[in-house]
Amino acid sequence: MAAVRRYDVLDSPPDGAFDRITSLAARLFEVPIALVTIVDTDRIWFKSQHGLDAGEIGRDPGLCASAILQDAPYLVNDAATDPRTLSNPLVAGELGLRFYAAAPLTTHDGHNLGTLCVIDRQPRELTESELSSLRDLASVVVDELELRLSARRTVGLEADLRHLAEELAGTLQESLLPTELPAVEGLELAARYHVAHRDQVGGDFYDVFLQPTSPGCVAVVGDISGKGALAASLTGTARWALRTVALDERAPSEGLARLNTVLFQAHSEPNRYCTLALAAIRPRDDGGADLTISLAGHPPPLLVEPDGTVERLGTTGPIAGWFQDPVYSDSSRSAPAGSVLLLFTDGLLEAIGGHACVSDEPLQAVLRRVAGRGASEVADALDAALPAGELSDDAAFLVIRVGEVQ
Amino acid sequence: MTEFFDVRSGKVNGALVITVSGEVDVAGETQFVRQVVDGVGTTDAQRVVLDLSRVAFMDSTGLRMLLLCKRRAEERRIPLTLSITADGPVSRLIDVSGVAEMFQLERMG
Repeated sequence: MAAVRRYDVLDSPPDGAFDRITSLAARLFEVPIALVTIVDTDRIWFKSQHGLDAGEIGRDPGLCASAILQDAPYLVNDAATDPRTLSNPLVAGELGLRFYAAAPLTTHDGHNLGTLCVIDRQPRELTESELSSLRDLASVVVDELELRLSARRTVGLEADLRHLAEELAGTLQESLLPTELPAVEGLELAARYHVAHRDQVGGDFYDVFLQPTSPGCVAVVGDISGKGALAASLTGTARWALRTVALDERAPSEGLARLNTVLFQAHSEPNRYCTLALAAIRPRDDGGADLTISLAGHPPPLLVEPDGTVERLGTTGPIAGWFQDPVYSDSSRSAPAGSVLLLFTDGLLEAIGGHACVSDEPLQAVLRRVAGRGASEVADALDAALPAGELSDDAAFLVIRVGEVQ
Repeated sequence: MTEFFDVRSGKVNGALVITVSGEVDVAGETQFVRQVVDGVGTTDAQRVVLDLSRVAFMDSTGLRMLLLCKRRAEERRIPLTLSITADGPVSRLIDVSGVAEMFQLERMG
């Protein structure tokens, strides 16, 4: 019975391929009725029926049930005189069955699932060649069943794999991003991450962390070249190396230089790199903040002042992890209360500006409209500016508003 | 094999000139390696010019490809020049990535 379940044929809908086989069998043997039956624990189920209209019958009458107990075709030339069948209700009853020939449906691993049978109301004989035709047709039925099984298994396997990949990607991505942004006195934070393909770990990341003695926080947004497992392992390395380096409270440019050394030495495949914007945000007593920014091959962060002025911050430095001793520099600026600093990956430029857009002008236009608002409001406005449907690249951004929300 | 962008190469006065036009992003990585990076890595020319002035878009995958070209050229000790349009997409990518000093660039107005 396990074999019947494995082939998943019970109660499956009527199938064109099996109907063609039964109608062919009826024509070939010149009989009114031909059936593909599947024998379940307590019933005989008709996978296909030609010349009969019943969904299933009990297993008791026993013709097909007997037929599957042997590996050779089961033949009853005249059921009315055959001692095996003369009292069978199908024979004595309305159907008036007289002739019954069944070939078992034997799977490649030797299980009999049911029968291909032909039935007549007249007694008759079958020649050896007709018997082997019946056997051949039965094996066509089994081939069809096996085909369906393997197709169904492949589809099922693909679905399982895809699910697993998505689950892994999701779990991994969570370990590469902070589950919750820290509360930082004097600042309001919001972060968003939009993944282009759910089954792939993206190469974008962001992080915000506090330092032992300095006020405020250090914020980073980065983009690892490539995708998948290699990008994920580099993302993890970059994120945790930065956190470790930041404990020393050095300037962002020194943080990038040290990170470069770690990445340059650490990764086994030498043709990967990472771009980052690293910012130290130190709130002041007057409600404003001092910003220090260093860039490693990354689009410059944007500062939006409450009056709607937008400015690019930071001086370009080389990508991290590719060159031995790149030089990074710091740019410092004072930001008035109510300013918003946006760190983002280049995926956001394309998402907001359209395909192949490398300009930040469309992004600036969105930001100008929400000047002076809180971090979540700005993040919502950026989300709303994204196109519907799947993005072509991952997009991550971090919004830092100077001054507590009122 | 799908072509994502157009590549033409030829020899001009002993220099291998590879002209790329179209969009270079992650989808065309294999094609770029096969037609451009490997071309730089196997040439017998005295120097290589990558003409990128007709590239309409290039993302970080494209930059990685350019860095690989540079690495191949250095291994063979032949000079590599990138010919790009000033203010074009490749120029912007190279500038944002902070790698302009690492390449010999020919910027055309």
